[in-house]
Amino acid sequence: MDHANTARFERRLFRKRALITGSLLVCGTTAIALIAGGRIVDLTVLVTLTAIMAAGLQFLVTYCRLLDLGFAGFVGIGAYVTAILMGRFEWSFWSGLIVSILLAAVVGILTGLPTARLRGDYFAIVSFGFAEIVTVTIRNWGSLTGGAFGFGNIPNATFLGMEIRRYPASSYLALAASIAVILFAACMYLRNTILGAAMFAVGDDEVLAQLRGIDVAAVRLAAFACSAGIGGLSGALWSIYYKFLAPGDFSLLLSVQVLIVVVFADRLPIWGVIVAAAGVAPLNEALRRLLQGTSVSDAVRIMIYGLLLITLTRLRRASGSGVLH
Amino acid sequence: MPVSTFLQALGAGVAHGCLIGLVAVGYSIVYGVARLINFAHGEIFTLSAYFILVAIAPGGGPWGIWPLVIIACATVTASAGFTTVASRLTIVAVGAIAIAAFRFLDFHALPIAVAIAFSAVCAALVALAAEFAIYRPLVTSSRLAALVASIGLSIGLQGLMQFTFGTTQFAFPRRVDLLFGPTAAAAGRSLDLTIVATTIACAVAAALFSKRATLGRSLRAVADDPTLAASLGVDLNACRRAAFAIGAIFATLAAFLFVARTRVLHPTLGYGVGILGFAAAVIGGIGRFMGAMLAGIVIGIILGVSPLLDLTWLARWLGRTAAFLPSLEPSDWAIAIVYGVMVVVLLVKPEGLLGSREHRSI
Repeated sequence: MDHANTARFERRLFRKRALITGSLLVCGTTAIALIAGGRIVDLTVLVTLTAIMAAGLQFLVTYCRLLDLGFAGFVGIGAYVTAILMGRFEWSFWSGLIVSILLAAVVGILTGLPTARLRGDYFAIVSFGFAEIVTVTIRNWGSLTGGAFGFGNIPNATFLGMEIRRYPASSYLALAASIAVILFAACMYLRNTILGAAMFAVGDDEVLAQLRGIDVAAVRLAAFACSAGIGGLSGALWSIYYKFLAPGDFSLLLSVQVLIVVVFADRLPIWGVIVAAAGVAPLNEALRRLLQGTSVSDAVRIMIYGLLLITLTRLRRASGSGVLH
Repeated sequence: MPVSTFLQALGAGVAHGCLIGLVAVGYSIVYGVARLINFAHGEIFTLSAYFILVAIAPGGGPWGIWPLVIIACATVTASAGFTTVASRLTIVAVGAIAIAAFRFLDFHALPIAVAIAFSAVCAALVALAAEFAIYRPLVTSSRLAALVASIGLSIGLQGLMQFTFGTTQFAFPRRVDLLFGPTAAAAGRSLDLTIVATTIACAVAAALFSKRATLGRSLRAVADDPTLAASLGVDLNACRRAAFAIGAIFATLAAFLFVARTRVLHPTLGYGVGILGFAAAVIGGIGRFMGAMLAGIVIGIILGVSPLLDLTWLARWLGRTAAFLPSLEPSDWAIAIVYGVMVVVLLVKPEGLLGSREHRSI
């Protein structure tokens, strides 16, 4: 077989294997979560939210190979902006959503401007610092955000006159799923454009991309903007689902959870994100329910996430490649 | 505002900054030698404080043998990271002695320095275990893999500490306070002086070490150009291990003084201190420990003096609309300010205030 056919064969084989492993993972974790007392609808909502967040983080981590530890900050911005606009100023959900996305994207660009030329290590640091700054700002702006006491009583969204309720979650699931489908289609399309190819090139080999004429800083900025915007989108959905926001919700742990999904999804097509989210999100729910009431619930969950991350860094494909390698 | 208040805040800030600087050294050394950011350094800081508590708490504390189990696992893993059988046996022996000491030795009869020494040894063992188990397999991988692994290790260790030691806040027993002075005020001043003195001693020791000692010069060589150092016969793995161990020892000293000063110890302590130490390492020039210490002191001064800043005039000036302003308490924004400084430094002089530009070849 010549080189092109071998590569295509290997890719197909990898995708098939990924699909099988992914499906087993999904079945396994969903089964555990259901046994532990979760409900299918809630689980599906969780999976959809995680998948949307992962699709956002993918732009930076998978395409450009930049570790963004501050993704939770964008989710937090989106969530609080939507919550404040809907709760305090009585805007509709949809206008709040658009403002969230735009504001998060603008903040993403502002954060991306100074970091666009930094090396990978420093980028991780600065993005981490950014998430901290967002949390600190939310906590300190009590008059607007409720500060450390949280922000509650977020009203329901309405679509064409129908109210989207939290219980039962089916109306919310319809909303989230439709938004997700549109988003994933847009991501798939973006992958095949020049911008998408440029992002992959920057991720693979920055120096080579620059030599070929790609403006690395601009591409990184674009990836940051997309990532931040989608983060804002997921934050908006978060706020009308959870209906209560606390500054501590959007911490490093959330970024880590999304990171795990993204690393699992690797460079697969968009279904990889969905399968990975479907595999990992029920795990969180399952752990939460199984350990409910014990004093070590948080500790064990944190330990397992840490272990998962460490294990992920050791996994490579047979050819030695992968998102992290 | 009276000068004495300012000087007091300044003094406290300098002391706080010295501790941040000591923590920052750990980040700096490890980055210089291994080119990786060890996010778990903050957790090693907390863990060493817990080890000291296990030593001096009456009856070894309410945690049973679990801390000793951690030390045992760390010893075994760390010993696997060494090459010769003799060195492996030495590490195992050291770990066994430490465990026996924690279990059977009466630390009340001995000076506190013994407890600190044993805790430093155990922290170094944990750091060595992390180096071998987590970081060494990733030497051939990308930077991204090492970063992700260090995040994983950081939160894993946090969870482990929460699991073993619980989330209750502890403080060092009274005898640690009595070490520094009979009354709270006198103890505070004496403690701050001890902190500054210790930091100066550590700085001098580190400077001598890196200039005179073979290992110190090897560390500098590896930080400068690993390939050249390796071709000249420097054992890269030994340097990595030394870097991790030295960082852990500095962290233990800082941890003891920190907990003695602030009287709080809980599993997420390392998170806050680690962030500041890390910012100090970046601002001072990552890879240069002198810069890290100086930057730490600067950060400490900023944090110490900022509460004195009075911004309430802004609220009065804005009148009614002031209700929508964010908090005007500078200490709330301290971390944000530190990060802002870090970002500015990274933009203007990415190699840090005292660093030199690293030449990257294509």
